[in-house]
Amino acid sequence: MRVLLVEDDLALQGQLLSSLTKKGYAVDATGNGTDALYLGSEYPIDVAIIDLGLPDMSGMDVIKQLRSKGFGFPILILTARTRWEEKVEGLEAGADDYLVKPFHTEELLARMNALIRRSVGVSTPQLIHGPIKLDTAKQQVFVNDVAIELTAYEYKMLEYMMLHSGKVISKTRITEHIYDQDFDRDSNVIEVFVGRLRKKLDPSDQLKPIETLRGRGYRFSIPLNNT
Amino acid sequence: MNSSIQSRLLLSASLILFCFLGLAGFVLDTAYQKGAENALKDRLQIHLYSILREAELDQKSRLVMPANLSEPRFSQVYSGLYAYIFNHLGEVVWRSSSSAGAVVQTVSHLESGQKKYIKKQSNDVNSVELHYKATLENENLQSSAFEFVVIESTSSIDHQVAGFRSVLWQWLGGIGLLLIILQFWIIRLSLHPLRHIVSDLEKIQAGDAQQLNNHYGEELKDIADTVNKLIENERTHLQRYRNTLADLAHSLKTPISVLIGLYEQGQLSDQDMKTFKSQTLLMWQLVDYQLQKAAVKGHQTMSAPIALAPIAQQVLDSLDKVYKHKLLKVITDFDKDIKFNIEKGDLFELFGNLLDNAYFWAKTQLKISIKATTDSDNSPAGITINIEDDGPGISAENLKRALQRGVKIDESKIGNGIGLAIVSEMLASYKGTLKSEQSELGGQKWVIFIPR
Repeated sequence: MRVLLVEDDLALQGQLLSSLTKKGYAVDATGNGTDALYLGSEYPIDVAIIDLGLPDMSGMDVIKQLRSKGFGFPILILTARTRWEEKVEGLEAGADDYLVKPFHTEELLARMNALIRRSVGVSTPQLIHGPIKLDTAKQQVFVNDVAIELTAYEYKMLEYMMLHSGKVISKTRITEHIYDQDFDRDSNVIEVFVGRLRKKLDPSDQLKPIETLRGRGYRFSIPLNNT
Repeated sequence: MNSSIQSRLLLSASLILFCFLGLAGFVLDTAYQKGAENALKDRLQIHLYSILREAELDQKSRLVMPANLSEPRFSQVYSGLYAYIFNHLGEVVWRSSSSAGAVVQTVSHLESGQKKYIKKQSNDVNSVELHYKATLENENLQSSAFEFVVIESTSSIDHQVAGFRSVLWQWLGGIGLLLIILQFWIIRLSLHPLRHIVSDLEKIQAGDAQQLNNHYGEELKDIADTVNKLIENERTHLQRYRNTLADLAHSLKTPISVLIGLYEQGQLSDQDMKTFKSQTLLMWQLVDYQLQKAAVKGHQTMSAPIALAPIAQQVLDSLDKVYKHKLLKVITDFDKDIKFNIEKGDLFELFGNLLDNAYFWAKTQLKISIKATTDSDNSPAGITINIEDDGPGISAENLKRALQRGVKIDESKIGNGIGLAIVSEMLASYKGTLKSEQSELGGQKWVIFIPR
C-alpha cells in the first residue's frame, strides 16, 4: 500500500513514517503542499494523510487541487483544530475522514485501513477467501483459523492482492504499491516474496491461491472447488 | 470641539443664523433708504409747487420772481437746496440765491406738465434734481414755457441712512451674538446625555462602575441597553476563559505530579508504564476538553439569525462520507426555514458531536428532526432538535458519566466522549437543555431544546 504522508511537523512526520514503514507501507513523505501535489499526481497513491496546516499552502487547497485533477484516492486529514466547522469544511473539500491531533498511531492505521478497503469496495475489516482470512484491523492472517506468521512486506503484498482479488496484478504494480521510491526494483524480489507467501499459506500446495500469469503478473483467487 | 456633534450643530446653526440676520439687515436697510429717498422726492415736489406759485409772467412775457422766497434755504448760499428756471431756449432766466455757480443742465424733450427726477453724482456731492416744464400766462394771455429745476443735496438723507444702518447692524449683531450663545447652551444641554454616557463608559473602563445606569433619555435607551448586554457578554466570556484556564491548570497538576513521581523513582516497571500511558492520555483529554470548551462562543448579543437545516445537512453529508461503510439510513425531518440566533460554530459543534455519536452507535438507521415550537404548547417558544439512533443506547450511569467533563463511554474511540459534555455546556450558555430518552428506533434519543 502506497501512502502519501503530508505533515510539516518533522518530529511527527518521522514518527509516522517509521510506524507506517514498520507496518509494511510504502510511504512518500513531505512537509509542504507543492511537493504533496507533485507526489500525489505522479505516484500510484492508495491513501493520503494530509495535515491541514502546511507552511506554503493550506492542506484544504492541496485536497481541492488533487480532487479537481481527478485523483480519487482516499484522503484522511489531520488537524490540530477540534472545531466541527473545520472538520466539515475539510470533508466537503474532498477528504474522506479526519483525525484530530493528538491521536494514537493505531487509530490512524485503523482509519487508513478502513479507507483503503472502502476505496476498493470492501466494507468489513476482514477479507475472507475460502479458508484464508485476513484481518486488516489486527493485521493477521489465518488459514483454516490457524494464525500464519508473515513479515510486514509479505502481509502488505497479500493484503493488496486480496483487496484486488480476481484481477491481474503486474509485478510493476506490486512494486509501486508495496515499496517506496528507494527500493531496489528487481522483479526477482517479488518472485521470492510470492514464493514465500505460497509456502506459508498453502504448504501442501492444494489451495493454489496465487496464480502466475506468465508475462502479465499474478492473480489472487481461490479455485471454486475449494470454497 | 474638533469635529464633534456639538461643533457641527453649532456651526450649521450659526451659519443659518448669519444668513438670516444678514438678509433681514439688507432688506431693512434697503427699505429704509428707499423710504428716505421718497421723502426727499416729496419735499422737492413741495418746493417746486411753492416756486410755481411765486412765478409770474409780466406784460412783456418776462419771468418775474420775488426777491425772497418763502423757503429760507433758497436764499442761503450752500444750503443744499437750489432752484433754477430755464426759458425755452435753455437759458437760465432765474436762479435761487443759494445756487452759487452750480452747473445744471436742462432736460430736452420734456413735455409741458411733465416731471422728471434725476439722481446726480458730482464730485463728492450727491443730489436729486426735479425737472418740471410749465407754461406761464400773463394778463394779455401771452404764454411762455419754462423749465423749473429744484435740486436738493442728499447729504441729509445719507446721514439719516448711515445713522439708521449703524443702529440696525448693532442691534442685529447683538441679537445674533445672543442667539449663538443661547444656541450653544441649548446644544450643550441636549448633548449632555451623550457626554454622560461617555463618562460612564470611562468609569466602567476604569473599573469604577459595572453597568450603564439607564437614565440618558428615551433616544439613547436602546444604545445603553445594547452596550450593557455587550459588556455583560464580554464579562461572561472573560469569566469563562478564566475558569477554563484555571480548570486546565488545576486538572493537569495531578497527572503531572504522578509523572514526576514516576521519573524520580528511576527504573520503570510495566505497571509504571501503564500509569505513564494512562496519565498522558488523561492529560491530553483534559487539554482537548478545555480547548473545545473555550471555543464555545455562547449567546451573541448581535448575531444575525442563522438557518439551522442547511448546517445540519452539511454535517450529515460529511458524516455520510466518514461512515460510508455502515450504509446507514438517515431520516431527516426539518422545518426548512427555521432561523435562530446562535453562533455558527456552536451550531456545527452541536450537530457535529451529537450526529457523530449517532452515526457511531447506529446499527442501521438514525433520525434527526428540527422543529420550531410556539409559546402555546405549555413550554416557551424555541427550537426542538431530536437526534436518535437504533444503537445500544446509553445506560443511566453512562449518561451521567458522558455529561461529565472528559469521560469517554467508548474508550477505544479516541477523541470521542468529550463531545457530549461540550454540547451540554454550550446549550447551557444558550439557556437550552439536553435530555436523554429512549428512541422508538430502539437506541439513544437526544432531545435538545433552546428557547427563543
